[in-house]
Amino acid sequence: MAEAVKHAEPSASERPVVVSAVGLTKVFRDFWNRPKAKAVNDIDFEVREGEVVGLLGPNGSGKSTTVKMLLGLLYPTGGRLTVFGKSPRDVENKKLIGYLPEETYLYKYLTAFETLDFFASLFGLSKEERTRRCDQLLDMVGLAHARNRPVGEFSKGMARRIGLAQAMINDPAFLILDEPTSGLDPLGCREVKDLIKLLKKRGKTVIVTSHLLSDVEEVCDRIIVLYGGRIRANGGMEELLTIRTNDTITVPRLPEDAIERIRRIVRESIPDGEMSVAHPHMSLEDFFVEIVNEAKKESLETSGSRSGGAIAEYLTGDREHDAKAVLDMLTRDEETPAQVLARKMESDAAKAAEEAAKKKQDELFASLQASAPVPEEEKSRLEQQELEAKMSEANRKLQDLLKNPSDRKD
Amino acid sequence: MTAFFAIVKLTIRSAVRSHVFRLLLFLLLLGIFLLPFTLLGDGTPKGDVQIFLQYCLGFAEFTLCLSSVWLACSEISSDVETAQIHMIVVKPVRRAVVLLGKYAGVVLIHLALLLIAAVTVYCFLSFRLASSDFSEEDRMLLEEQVLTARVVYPPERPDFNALAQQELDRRIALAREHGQDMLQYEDNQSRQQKFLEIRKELIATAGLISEDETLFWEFKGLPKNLTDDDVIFMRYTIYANRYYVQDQNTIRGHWIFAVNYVRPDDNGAETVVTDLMALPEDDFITATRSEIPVPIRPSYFIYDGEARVGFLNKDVRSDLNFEEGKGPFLMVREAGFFSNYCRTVLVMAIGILSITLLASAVAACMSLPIAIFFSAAYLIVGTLAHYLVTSIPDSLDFQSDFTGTFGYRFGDLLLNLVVPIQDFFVTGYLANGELVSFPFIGILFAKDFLLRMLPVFLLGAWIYTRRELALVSKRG
Repeated sequence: MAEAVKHAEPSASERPVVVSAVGLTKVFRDFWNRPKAKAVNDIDFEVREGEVVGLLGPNGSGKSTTVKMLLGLLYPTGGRLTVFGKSPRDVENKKLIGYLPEETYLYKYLTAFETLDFFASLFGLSKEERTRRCDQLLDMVGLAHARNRPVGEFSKGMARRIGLAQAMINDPAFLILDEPTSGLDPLGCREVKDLIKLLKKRGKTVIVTSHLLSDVEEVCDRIIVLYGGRIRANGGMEELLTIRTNDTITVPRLPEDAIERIRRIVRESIPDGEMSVAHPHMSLEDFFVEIVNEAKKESLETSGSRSGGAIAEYLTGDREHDAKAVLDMLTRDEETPAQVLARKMESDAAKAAEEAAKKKQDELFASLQASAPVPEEEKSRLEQQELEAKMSEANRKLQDLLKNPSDRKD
Repeated sequence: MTAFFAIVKLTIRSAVRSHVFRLLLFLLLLGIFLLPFTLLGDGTPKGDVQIFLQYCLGFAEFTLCLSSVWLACSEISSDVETAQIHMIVVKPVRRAVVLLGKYAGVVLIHLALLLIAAVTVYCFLSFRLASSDFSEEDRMLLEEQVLTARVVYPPERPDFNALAQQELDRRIALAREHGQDMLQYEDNQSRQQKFLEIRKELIATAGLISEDETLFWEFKGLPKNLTDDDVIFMRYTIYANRYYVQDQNTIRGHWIFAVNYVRPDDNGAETVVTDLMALPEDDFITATRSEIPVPIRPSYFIYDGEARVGFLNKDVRSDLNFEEGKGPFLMVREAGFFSNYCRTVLVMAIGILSITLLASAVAACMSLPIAIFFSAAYLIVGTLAHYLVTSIPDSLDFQSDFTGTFGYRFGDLLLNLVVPIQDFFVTGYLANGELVSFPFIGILFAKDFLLRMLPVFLLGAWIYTRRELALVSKRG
């Protein structure tokens, strides 16, 4: 029984609160202390342990102000804000926090290693421990080859990577990533997203702010949409983005006659509804990553950062067995953690989809055999438009949220 | 401490990359290596060495002070303006530690440079002394008057208040006796005004010597343990009333020294008999600081820590004047030149520590240009306040001279608040062979560093720890 309790996964609402904001307000004042702008206006939110929360909003919506208040760089004008139950200004608390700023403010004359070593020193780590972590992180973010290069010579993407590495130097329980994919190439973006997923698997709490909605959509469990300093939407990704009026069935490629038979069956259920059949697209990012991976197999070199290496060993988490499994896989096939995770997820999803499709196909054929033949109908005229509409449905919904925030007001 | 040392190291690395710092470093090296070859001095070995010491070390100190203000301001302010500080303060390190680390970094690099400058100047001096073909007399003069560390003893100052009161009483009595108009002594205010006038007059004429008259000065608190091998020096500046105060001319006179003999009296007991010994009549150059050795053994010259010196005016053309504060002074050797040199460098180090403290405090709460302006303004105000207080004569009439009084009081108030930078420039003492004593250094450290600069730094640190650092941002 005790064992069972030990391994029981607490639900999101049962997990400890990492960030709590109640009536949080920030008013910027001018030299004469007259209110100039209300950047954050009476907002309430909570972030619980293990959550990956996306903080979204257009420029000037209060995202950065909120993040800076979480870090103790700005002080709230009103309301109450706690991180791990303490004030954001609490120095000891900062041992648990990792921060990647929107622009990585690095000391240009320090090399990549020295940069990480400096930030590790601020955590009071020993020389040996610092060296170990710095080497592992450099390997992880794909900058091991640029270990001794001054960061002033780095491209923006490389600077982002070193920024990301410094944010994880202390193995933080809570990470704040401000535009983590900004300036990165698609490969880097994918790696960062995979890393965030991995961190989530390890029980880390992450707040991500980004303008790239697809990034947020991919990695976050929950989003908070800010506009004009107020929260316009706050909820789980499934809850906010699922289009409950439509269904999508994904199956392996079917012969033309099978599609026609399916059409007839579907038409029986929704005689007047619009229906489309199309081949699913892979995302441009997936396509790009595939091309680059193929190029790598052909040993083509790039002068910038390379794919990330193994996840740093010291990055511990609550789910040790997951971490160990990933590390085992990493050492076995010498792939990056991001690739391993992505491949694992893809193969799991593909297997499930294959099984579901097979089952569905069997059922469909069974029902087709039972039913009378239906005269041939004309092919769908709007197949292409509908397909495109469905593909971008989720993003459109998010865009609508930003454009017409009042529509989403509770 | 790991975090503290990391910040110190980072500050030093950042400092050496600053263009302004490099320029100042270049100037410093240029000054140290070129000044010795460009300074001409007054043509005498003594004058040359004095000017070399004063200018080379003074230039090094001035450059290092400038550099420390610049670096402290830029290291602290720029980090805030370029938001690099965000990366540091979100880590578990107290802001006070960040500020202290930056202060320590700036101080360390400047102390290292000060050490290099001091060693270089000392080596240059040693080389110059070793390679120069000075006469034995010049060499002796150098060793006795420059390459030494002597305590300066001023003469006892007359109680001008008591003397003025006596003179006032005398005049009142005289006026009564002669039945003169007593209106000017009637009320307190008139009497006070008269008193101040008399006091002013007494101070102005205290060092005045008419023809064939002698003025004596008493010295107290002289060391009692001097041996007969020790040489006491006397420094003085004579002014002739008939010339403009700065004009150099020749006048004639004698120096007179009191000599103490122990002789048995009629009862056989030993008593001290004081005699006077006059040096031969000689020519003296006016408005020039001069130094002569006292031609009497210390055991005869000093009795119970006291000594007496006089001057007889034999110049038929003019009264002579020994201005208040310009001697004669007796000078007794206390330590060697190297010791004095090290003490001078220590004072320079305290100066750097203090000025960096000020600049760090200011930079902790202001932007870079404002911090530099404020630091410079602070130091200039200190200098002006010092000038204001010292330039107003002691004979100032506080009742009638409103502007003088205001200037004095204002300067005095400022001096209690700010530190005049010249407090740390003691190379003049070194060049004159005057001892930079440890009590002097201690008082300087306590008064300027602990009592004035440290509170300013603590205030700056307090503001720094409470600032909303993300309010400032100027992408660098």
